[in-house]
Amino acid sequence: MLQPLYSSWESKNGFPLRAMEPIEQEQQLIRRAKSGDIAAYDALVRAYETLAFRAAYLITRDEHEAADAAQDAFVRAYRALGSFRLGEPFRPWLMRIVTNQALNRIQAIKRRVNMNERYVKAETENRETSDAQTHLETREQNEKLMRAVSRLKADDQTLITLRYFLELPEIEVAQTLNIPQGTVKSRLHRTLAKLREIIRAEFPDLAEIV
Amino acid sequence: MMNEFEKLENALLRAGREMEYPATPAIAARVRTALTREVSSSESVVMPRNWWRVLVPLAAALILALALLFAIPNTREAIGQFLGLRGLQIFYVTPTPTALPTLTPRPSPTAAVTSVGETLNPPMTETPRATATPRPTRTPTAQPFTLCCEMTLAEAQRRARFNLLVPPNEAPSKVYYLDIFNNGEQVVMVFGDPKNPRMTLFQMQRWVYGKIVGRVFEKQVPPQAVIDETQVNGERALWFSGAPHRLVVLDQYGEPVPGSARTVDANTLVWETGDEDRGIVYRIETKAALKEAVQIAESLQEVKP
Repeated sequence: MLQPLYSSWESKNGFPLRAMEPIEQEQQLIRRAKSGDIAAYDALVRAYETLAFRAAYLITRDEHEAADAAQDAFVRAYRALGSFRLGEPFRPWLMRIVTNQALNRIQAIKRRVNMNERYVKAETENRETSDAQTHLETREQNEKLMRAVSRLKADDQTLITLRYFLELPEIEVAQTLNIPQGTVKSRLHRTLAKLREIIRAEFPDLAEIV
Repeated sequence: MMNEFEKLENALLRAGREMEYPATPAIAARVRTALTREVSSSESVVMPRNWWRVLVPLAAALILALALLFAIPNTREAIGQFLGLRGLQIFYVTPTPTALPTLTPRPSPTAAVTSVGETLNPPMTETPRATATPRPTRTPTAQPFTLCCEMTLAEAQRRARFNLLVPPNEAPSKVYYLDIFNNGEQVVMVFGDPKNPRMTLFQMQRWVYGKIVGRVFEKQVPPQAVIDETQVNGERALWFSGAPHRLVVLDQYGEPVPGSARTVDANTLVWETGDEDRGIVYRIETKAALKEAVQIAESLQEVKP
């Protein structure tokens, strides 16, 4: 059984997915950034840029859109720092802005289907150009699972993305989506049930995981 | 006890961990550039198109206030930052008080920027010269920073990641290409005799910011640079004349590129094209007057293969 990665937050590539600064240092950086210190804010951006980009990528399924969404999110977050309350966790506050920016981009350009298709195509190309023999079955299973997830509504996809792909704790998912933690639990339950129905109906090959 | 979705949750977790993400782009650098620009522009005065209709009733009071404020050097310097384009910051240096009378031609009364420029400069007390555009004594002698990497026009175009512009009926006598620390590109074209060029055309990507600093002469003559607002192909442009000024190239973080500062002793037309993030800044340094410089600028066309 896979164990959640909540405590380690290291990606397989070794990129830190969590701020490198201890909480106190992070709060100090935020305090300085609130007073207009761009260098302090730069340190915060560096700590979170990979997480923000990946979250945006998972939502937009497009590398360039994700980069733009992450950049816009950091700029907006800087402007909104005045409303950030010191002592509160920064990551979910930032992630809320990132996910909103990414979702806004999807709604604005109305090409989500194309993005999903592009994503799957890109994944397929990656698979063909990398070690074709390595974990082929797992890769295929993951690809189908991603296709199944892409059948969900955008809000539900975001929930899956935050909770499972980025492995945010439920409390941070709640803070990111600005909903009670209990609502996260119930929505996750309903979303997984929907996903299971989709898999059973459209991806019978994945029956063993449901 | 097994969660009814345990297998599905584990499959989702595994899919997330095994996903191949694109390499994270340089988001921090992009954010820093955007914020630096934003902070810089937030210190500017953004004039509405019909600004004069709104501000005329306040103009007299404003000029009086500015006149009082200009007695304070730091204030004068700060107010100089109101001017500029997206890719260009302008700072006036504090002049050393002097009684030397020098002439400042009256700029166009319709130009917003000129109005500020006029206030920045001491009011003209001597009889003005007949010519509206002061002629520089010489065109600039580009220094090593600018003149690195001489090559043919075709080679410069091959290297540049943007379309170079040239006058339709004249080939440059010299072409220089410079990749500034991989942060942006600048192409410089010299027209006429390279030792005494008639015109020098600079084209650089907007994220290589230009910064013009009003010149304080060694003789402590007050700065006489006049900045007129004009248009090139309908877009706002600035025309610097009347006195030499300093030009410093900034990197994408807004920091001066070492060795890039030089004195520009020529009339200079500056304008921009393109979008917010990926535009090009054009500068023409010339002996010509404003009207001719604008004609040249508007005649520029892409290099033909």
